[in-house]
Amino acid sequence: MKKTLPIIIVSFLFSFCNDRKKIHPDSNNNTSKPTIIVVSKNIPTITKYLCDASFSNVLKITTGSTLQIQFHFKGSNSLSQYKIDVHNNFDCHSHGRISASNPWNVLNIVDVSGKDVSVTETLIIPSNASVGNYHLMIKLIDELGNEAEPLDFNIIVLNSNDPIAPTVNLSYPTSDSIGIARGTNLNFVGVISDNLSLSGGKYEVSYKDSLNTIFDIHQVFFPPAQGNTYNLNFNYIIPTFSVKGASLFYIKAFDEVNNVTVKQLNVTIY
Amino acid sequence: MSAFNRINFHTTCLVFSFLIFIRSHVKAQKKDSTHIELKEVEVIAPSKSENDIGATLNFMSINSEYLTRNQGNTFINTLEKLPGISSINVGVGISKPVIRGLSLNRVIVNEYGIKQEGQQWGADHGLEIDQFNVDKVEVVKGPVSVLYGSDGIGGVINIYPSHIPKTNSINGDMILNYKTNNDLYGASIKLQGNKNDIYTIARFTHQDYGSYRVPANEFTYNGFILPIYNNRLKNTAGKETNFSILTGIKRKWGFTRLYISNYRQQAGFFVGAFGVPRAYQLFDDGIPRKISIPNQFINHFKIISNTLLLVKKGYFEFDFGYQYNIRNEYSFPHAHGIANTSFGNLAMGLDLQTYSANIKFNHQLNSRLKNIYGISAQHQTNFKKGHEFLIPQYEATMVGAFLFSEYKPTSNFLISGGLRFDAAVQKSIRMMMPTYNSSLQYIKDVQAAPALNRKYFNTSGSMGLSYNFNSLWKLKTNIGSAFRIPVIAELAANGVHHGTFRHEKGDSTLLPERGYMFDLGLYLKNKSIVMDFTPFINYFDNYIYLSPSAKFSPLPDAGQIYLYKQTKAIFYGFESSAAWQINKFILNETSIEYVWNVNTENKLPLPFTPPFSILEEIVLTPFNNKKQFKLFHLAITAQYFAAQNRVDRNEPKTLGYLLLHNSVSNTFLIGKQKLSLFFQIRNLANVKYMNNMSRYRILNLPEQGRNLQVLLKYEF
Repeated sequence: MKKTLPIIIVSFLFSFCNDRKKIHPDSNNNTSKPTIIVVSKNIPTITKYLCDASFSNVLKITTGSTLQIQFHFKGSNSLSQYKIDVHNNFDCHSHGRISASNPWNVLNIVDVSGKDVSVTETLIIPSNASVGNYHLMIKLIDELGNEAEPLDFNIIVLNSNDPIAPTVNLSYPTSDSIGIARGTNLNFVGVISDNLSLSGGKYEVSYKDSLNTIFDIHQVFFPPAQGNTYNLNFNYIIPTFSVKGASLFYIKAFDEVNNVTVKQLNVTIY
Repeated sequence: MSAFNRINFHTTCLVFSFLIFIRSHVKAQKKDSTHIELKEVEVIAPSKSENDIGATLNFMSINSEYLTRNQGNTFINTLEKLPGISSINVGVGISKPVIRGLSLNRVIVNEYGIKQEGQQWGADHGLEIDQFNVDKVEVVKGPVSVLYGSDGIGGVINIYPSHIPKTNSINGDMILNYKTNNDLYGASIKLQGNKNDIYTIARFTHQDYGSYRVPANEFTYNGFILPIYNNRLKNTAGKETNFSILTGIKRKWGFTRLYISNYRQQAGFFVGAFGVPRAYQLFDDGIPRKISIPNQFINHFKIISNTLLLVKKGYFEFDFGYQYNIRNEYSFPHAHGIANTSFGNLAMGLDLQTYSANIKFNHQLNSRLKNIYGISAQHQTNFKKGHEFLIPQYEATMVGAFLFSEYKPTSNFLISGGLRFDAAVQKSIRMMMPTYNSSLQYIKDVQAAPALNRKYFNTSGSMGLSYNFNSLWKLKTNIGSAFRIPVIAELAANGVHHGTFRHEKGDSTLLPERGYMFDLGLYLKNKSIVMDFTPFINYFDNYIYLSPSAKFSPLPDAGQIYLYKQTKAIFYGFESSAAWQINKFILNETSIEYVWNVNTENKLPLPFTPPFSILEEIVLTPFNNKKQFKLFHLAITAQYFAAQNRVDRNEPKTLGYLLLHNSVSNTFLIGKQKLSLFFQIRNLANVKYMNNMSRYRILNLPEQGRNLQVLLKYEF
């Protein structure tokens, strides 16, 4: 018995080995990925600092102009679709709020066929698009659902008529580094000015405490008849429950096309 | 290509067969030449007595000492060492069981006789169990649907209550633990008392950990090299708290007990896990314990009542349970291109309430024949909130009845057989979802999921036998059918699922998944060797899987739509383990496991299939004659995981790796009290590897690096 048992086991295993024929007759099991190749584009890729990190895949482009990319899609199976996705990255994907009034969005799904496809995509940046950082992503799938490695670009959109951001000049606090006790009043006084009318723009005050938690504390939309300047006067009582230590206050001024200036204050809360 | 594959496969098959042959032969010979008394071999040996139900099935039992000595990040990670058991993980705090390559709703976890219900369908939905609160576990592999109903396909993990405290005593234990890798600290306290066999056991556990460290300072994603600052995966911190109280009474008529527990967990997800990870998200904020977005919050509350009533020729068992599982997943709406909603950062909130009842009568007709008659019922309601749509609100009711018989014609022969009928109803209302044009302007609401009103009827059966050839060899075999009704996600999901970051779409016409399973168990036990070999083969005629549709999702930022489909699928494989007590001081344990599967529709393997692996462990107990070091235990473990090249479409292949672990423990006796010290180093060599069963594999993130664990247990 002791000697025959291993033989039983071997025969048992062997019986599986033979099963294989039945279940592997042909193949729609081709899993090789299609590929996306950029043949040419009318805007060169540059390296830039965005959201405090360096990116080598940045395209800089002005509103109203055209981004043209010629793609070569290749697969060992017939291709099915590609998808072009553009969405804003104004807040570096860390905040839930979409802050600009007129962000540029693209969501195009295009059917293709054949194993070898050349496509030229022409994207016109709307002349009224909010300026700032955007993500452009190109995805490709074949008819079996094999996914290509997506292609990813960062786009910086500038306004062709108004490339200039507002300026923020504070008369109070008088220094960029201050200390303040919890429960007391922090007063911001100053002037926001821009090359064009500020109407349609806004300013925001937020802070990041010493634990890196971000709080939005104030937002003002400039009225339609606002001239080139806005007199800022804003009071904020540092909450008694706020975290002590080195925090950063930000005053962000946006013009109508989303050009932005960030004024930063080092505030030590005690 | 396919011809080559076939040859390759045959070679592999032959080599395995040969290895097993050699192995069995060598062991068989060794057995004759050694006559050393085999000490109690923990774990591997079947421990259930032949009189218990389901004795023909393949099962393993482990106790709290094993669990403490081998403690992994979670309860399931601890069980993973057992042959045939693996886990699907998200980081270090979230894991779910896999038995013989079957997972999600194909594995049942029963605590105190009641099936744990907590959205098991999602790969990122961990099992809500405090591992300090587990004293005794039994893992049953194979067809268990007849006994446990829907979902008993891969097997069942049964968690049993602690032993009843000694009559007229008050005692307890206190555990403190620390793990270096993620700076985990934890504490657990148990207090128990028994007066005249009315007893109470209470335990409180809290664990808090930071982001875990990996042996890498960068990773590659989609062609970009991204940083890992200070070797920590940002935002993988978490904490868990569990409180439980069990109170019971034991009398001549039987016993009754009531168990209440509340498990709570908050766990962060790696910042880049839900979308494309970007360099600027990964900056170290200097606070490794901070749980930012994305994260999940889980609260699992349960009340369970168990009663056993002895009657003439048998006993009744009554198990009733109520569970309330809250699961909230938080992520920024923006990350998915959807504008703000009133739910803030709550992407998906699911509140699941489950009422369960099982009644069984164990009827000992005579010394040879035992029947078990059982009925069970379960009712669920699921409430949904959050800014993302994935699954609708629903109600489900299931009832079942079974008969299970065990017949013992001779003392070395046991036959069992069972038959079960189940009926189920699922209802959900039609769900709408807003749509946007290419400029993300709202257009209109469209149907996200249709109204459901499904009814299911199912019959399942099983047969098994256990035969002792002689005092050394034993054979078990089981054949049975198992089933599972489709879960709501498979019927009605329509949205991006965090567990996979894919747009998943259900099919409301799916049929119940049915499996036909066959397994064998061959066991050898002599004075110094315990060995087993347990091959299995499973065939499914309606296996539910996610199939890429080759069409893109209209949702911003999402890839292609994956559809739930059904196919015929085949699984086979084996586990084999051997424990050899070489002499009084040295024990050698080896185990192997292998799973092969195929989806016959596309001839591709199914995803999340554990790779072939070998575990080799040497246990030294050199001081078992010295009083204070009697329980000294030193183990060196090597685990080899082969490359997983059998992968589903769009699932990356994963390289093989070798891990080394080490553990030392001892128990000091201080009067009547015991102080135990457990020390463990996991991933001793700080090996950088990827695990195909990990959620973070798709981001090319390596697994946890070296981890030193210290655990102090004081029993008073």
